[in-house]
This record gives sequence, C-alpha cells and structure tokens, in this order.
Amino acid sequence: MAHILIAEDDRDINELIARNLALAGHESTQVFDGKAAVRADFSGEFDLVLLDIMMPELDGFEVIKKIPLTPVIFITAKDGLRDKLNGLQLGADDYIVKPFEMLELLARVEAVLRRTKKNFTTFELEGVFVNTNDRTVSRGGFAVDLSPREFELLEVFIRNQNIALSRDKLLELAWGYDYAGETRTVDNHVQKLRSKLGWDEKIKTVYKLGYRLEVKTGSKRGARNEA
Amino acid sequence: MRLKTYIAIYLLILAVLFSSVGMVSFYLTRSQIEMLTNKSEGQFQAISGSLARDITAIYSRGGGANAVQDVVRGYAHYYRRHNVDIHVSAGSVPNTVMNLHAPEIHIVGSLPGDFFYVLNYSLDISENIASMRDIQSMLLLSAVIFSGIAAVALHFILSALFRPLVVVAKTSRKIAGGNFGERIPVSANNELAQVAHDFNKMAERIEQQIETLEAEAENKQQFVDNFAHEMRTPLTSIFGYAEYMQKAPLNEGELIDFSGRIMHKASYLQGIASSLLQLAMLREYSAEMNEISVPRLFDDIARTLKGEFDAAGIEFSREINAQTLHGQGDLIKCLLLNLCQNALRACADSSAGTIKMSAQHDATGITLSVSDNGCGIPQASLSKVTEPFYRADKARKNGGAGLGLTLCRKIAEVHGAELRISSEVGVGTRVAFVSRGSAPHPGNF
Repeated sequence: MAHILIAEDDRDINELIARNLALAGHESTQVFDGKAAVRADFSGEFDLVLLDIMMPELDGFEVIKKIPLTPVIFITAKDGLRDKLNGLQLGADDYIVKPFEMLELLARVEAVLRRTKKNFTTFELEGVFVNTNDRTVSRGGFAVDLSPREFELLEVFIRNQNIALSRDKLLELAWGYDYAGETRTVDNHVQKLRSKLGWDEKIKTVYKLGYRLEVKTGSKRGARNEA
Repeated sequence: MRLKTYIAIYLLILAVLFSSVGMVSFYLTRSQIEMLTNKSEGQFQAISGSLARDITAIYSRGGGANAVQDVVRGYAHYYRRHNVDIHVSAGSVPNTVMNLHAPEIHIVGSLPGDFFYVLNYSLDISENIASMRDIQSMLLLSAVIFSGIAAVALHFILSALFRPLVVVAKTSRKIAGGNFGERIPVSANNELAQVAHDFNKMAERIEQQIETLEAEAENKQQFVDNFAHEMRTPLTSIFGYAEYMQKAPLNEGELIDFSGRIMHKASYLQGIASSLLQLAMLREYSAEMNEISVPRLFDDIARTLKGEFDAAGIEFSREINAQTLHGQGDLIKCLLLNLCQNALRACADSSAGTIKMSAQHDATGITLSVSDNGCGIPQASLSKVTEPFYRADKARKNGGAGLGLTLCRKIAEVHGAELRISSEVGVGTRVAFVSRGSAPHPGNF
C-alpha cells in the first residue's frame, strides 16, 4: 500500500482518482491547487504525486520543480508533444492524458511504484498469504501449489483488486497479448484458483463482464521497501 | 550590376576619346598635306614663271644652253635651302603633273612659253611628316593618360552612386532573413531616398502583417488548447465515473452520487455545445428587431435569477431610465442573463455582493449595463475576455467554459452595438451594451 498525493483542481476528477486508488488499496490525500501540493509534500510522507498541470496558484510545471524528491506522474488535458517533453525533462516519471482509463491509471501508478520500490511484495487475505518475490502462496500456514499461469492470474487479480476485469482483459494481462486461447481457459483457471484458495466468495463473477477480486480496501496489502 | 555599368560607361568613354583622337589627327594630317601641296604648287608656278622669264632674257641676249644651266643651278642652289630640289631637262610634257610620294611632293611640267624644257620639282616634306607624327603620338598619349584617369574617377563616382543601393541590398537581405524590424536610414532627399522610404514602408507593412498572423495563430492555438481542455475535463469525469460504476463494487449512495456527477458533466457539455451552436448561428443571423419593454425584460431576468441571487446572498438592484429598446428580445435576454451569471460568479467569494442592472437613455442611444462589486478582471486579460474559451483564471476554476462573453459580443454585433467592459481587480466589473440610436446593423457579421 502506498500513500499518494493527488493534486488536481477539478473536484470530480480528484475524487475519481482517489476512489480508484482506494480500490487498489492505496491511501491518498487530495489537494486542489499547486501551493497546497507543495505544502503537503513537505511532510515527505508520499510515495507518489499525481499532478495536474493546469492548476491555480502554481501550475504543475512549477510544482514539480519544488518537489524534487517525490516521484511524479503528470495528469493533464494537454497532449502536445512539447508539453510531454517539458514534463519528462522536469523529472516526471510518467504522463497520463485526460481522459484516461482506470486500468491505465492504476497500471502506471503501479509501474512507477515498482520502479521506485514502493509497490507491494506481500498480500494477505483471510488466511491466504501471497509473496510475489519468491512466488509462494500459503493458506492457513500450508503451502498451496499453483501452476505458473495460475500464479500470474492471481497476481493480476491482486494488482487490480476491486476492479471488474473482462475475460479478454484477463487473457491479455495474465497470458499476454499474443496468446490465442479462448475465454473458457480463463473460466477454468478462475475455478481452480477459487477452489485452491477457498475464494469462492472473493473472486466474484460480474454479470456480463467478467471477474472481480473483492477486498475490503485499505487493510491487508503490505508494502515492503527492499532498500 | 555595378560592374556592368562600369564597363559600359568606360567603353563609351574610350570609344568617344579614341575616335575623336583619330578624327583630330586625320583632319590635321589632311589639312597639313593640303597646305603643303598648295605651297608646292605655288612655288612650282613661281619658279617655272621666273625661270621662263630668265631663259627668255638669256635667249634675247643670245646666251646658250650653258647660260641656262647656270641659271638653273642658281635656282637649285637657292631652293635647296628650302628643302626643294629642282632640275630642268630638255623635253616637253603635255600637262603639269603633281605626285605625292612620301616623303616628297613631285611636280613635273613644261616651262611656260615656247621652250623645250621640263621642270622637275620635288619638295621634301619628311620634317612635316615627323612633326605630324609627334602630334599624333602626343594626342594618343594624352588619350591613354586620360582614359586611365577616367577609369579611376568612374570607379569612385559609381561607388558613391551605388552606396545607397548597397545599403538597400543589405537591408533587404536582412529582412529576407527574417529580421523584419530592419529599416534603411533615409538621409538625402532624392529618388533613392524615395525608394528607401517606400521600402521602409513596405517592411513596416510586412512586419505588421506577420505580427498579426502570429497573433492570430496564437489565438487559434489558444482556442484549440482551451477547447481540448474544456472537452476533456468533463469527459474524463464522465468516462471515469461510468467506468467506476461498471467495474467497482458500489452501494446505493455511491450509485446516486456518481450518476449525478455524470449527469452534471453531461449538461455542462450540453451547455458548451449549445453556446457554440448559438455562436455559429449568430454568424449567419439577421435579427428581427422589435420594440422591447425594458421594465418587463428586467423583471424577466430578475425572476429567472432570483433563486441564485438569494442563495448567494446577493443584493440585486435595478435602475431603469429607458422604457423601450429596439432589438431582438431573446438575444438581449440571453446577453443580460450571461452578464448577470458572470457577475454572480465574480461575487461568489464575497460576503456582501451587489449586482446592479441598469438601462440608460441618452442623446446617442441606449446603454444596458450590469455592474458588480466582485473580484474583477486583471487589466492584462481585459482585451481577451471576449475570445472563445478564454478565462482570466488560468486554471479555469470557476464557472462556465468561457463562451459567455464571446456570445455577448456577438449579440452586440448583431445589434450594431458595442460591448464595453471596464473592470478593476478587487473593486468590480461593469459590462455595458452600448446601442447607438441609429438603425442597427442588419446582421451578417
């Protein structure tokens, strides 16, 4: 679990980002202008700042100069190449253009956190303990034997917890773009995961869409700084 | 150009110079020779005449051929000093014949009278020829010297003449290179100064044109940026909340909250769309003008906005000094509503906001105005507020998309009126619709 600062002046978008991050188990603090962002960052408690460019008081380009230590992802409606270069030159770690998709936002957040070693390596849910470093899973203290593909699928569910994922999306994320399998394969693997982990109630079938791993947010995802 | 001019003029000078030298020496030679032939003819006549007389005298005294020879020798001796060679031989020729055989002039002819003598006369003119040669070479030498001087002088004269052109060329090269502020210094008052003056004028025009184009391009870019921002921000919310509703587990409260946000953003987009549509329509619009009752119009506005004024705690007042207005009712209402909504936003942060709507009548026409004591518009933004999507607040925090004043300006244009905006930060803003009393413009702006 990471602690993320959201600096975005549009209240609806700010709230939306906060809710999305909460689904993924991240904690967030919301500010609505540049000066507040700089003040908030002063505490040094944030693992990442999601920074809007057009903001009152100080714009994003000004803010990033004042917070050199925290990783930054720019969020903006401007998608000119010049702005992108400008943003990355100033030391931003990534760049998201509005409108963005939830999964894209979370994937980028995850990627930056992984680069900066702040992402999760362990995960625990009702007696099931997952360690993504040595790829082990245990249930009630006993090791669970998962096939490599089952583990990939589990990891995808954990990374995108609380978000409904279509069978196609799951194929893409756990099997890879070029996998020519059928969506039935996904159903089979999900069944196996459910029975092996006792997660019949955890991995929900979402009508007409796919599956969702439901986790009560803000509790059991552990960050371990490897440094 | 300069080299060509130089060569042409120089060749002309040379041609004139050397042809005149040639002509002068030719005529000089001819007249000299004419003079010499005349002289020798005269001498021949004189000699042959006096010889004939002497021979007649000798014969009358009974002298012989020897005496004649003596006399001839005497003549020859005398004339030798004058470069003339004479000798007399027996015989006769039908005519006197003159021959120019450089360096001598020969004349052969019988002596006058009944003598059987022929006089051979030859004048040596080598000295004259030599002096003529001298004169010719003097002429040629001076021509050569003069042409040398002319070459140098011509160079300086042309450089002086061409200097302004060089300046023009340099300046135009700089301008062509993109330095549009460059100008030619105009000093003298001649044809070239006129050219320089016109050139400067042209450069000024180009500079202005380019500035205008750049400003226009910047405005367009600004418009596109703003439009993109104005579209994407609500779309981000709409898409994001819809996606959240689709994929995340929701409770009933969240469902209502999120669908409300989506509807709110959708109606915001709807507002932008209808403003843009209205703007586009006004471009082709020819308003049907009627007499509008001002008190009724103001009542209408007040009723429409009463709820918002009350909610914001705004003190709203009206001042009516004009009863009727010539114009298109819906458009004028739209204008006043927009101005009042702007005023409301400007007063959003103040606790004692006042908004005053007034209609004034004077000699030139009618002025409708809306004034507030809200936050005001910075001086730098004042000229841009009527541009589409422009918002003085860079972060575009409050309110609409920035189309309201654009629409108001368009409405004013359709009425042949003017939109005057005056504002001071922290004091307030007044926007006036100033309609001239004369017939409004028929439309088509």
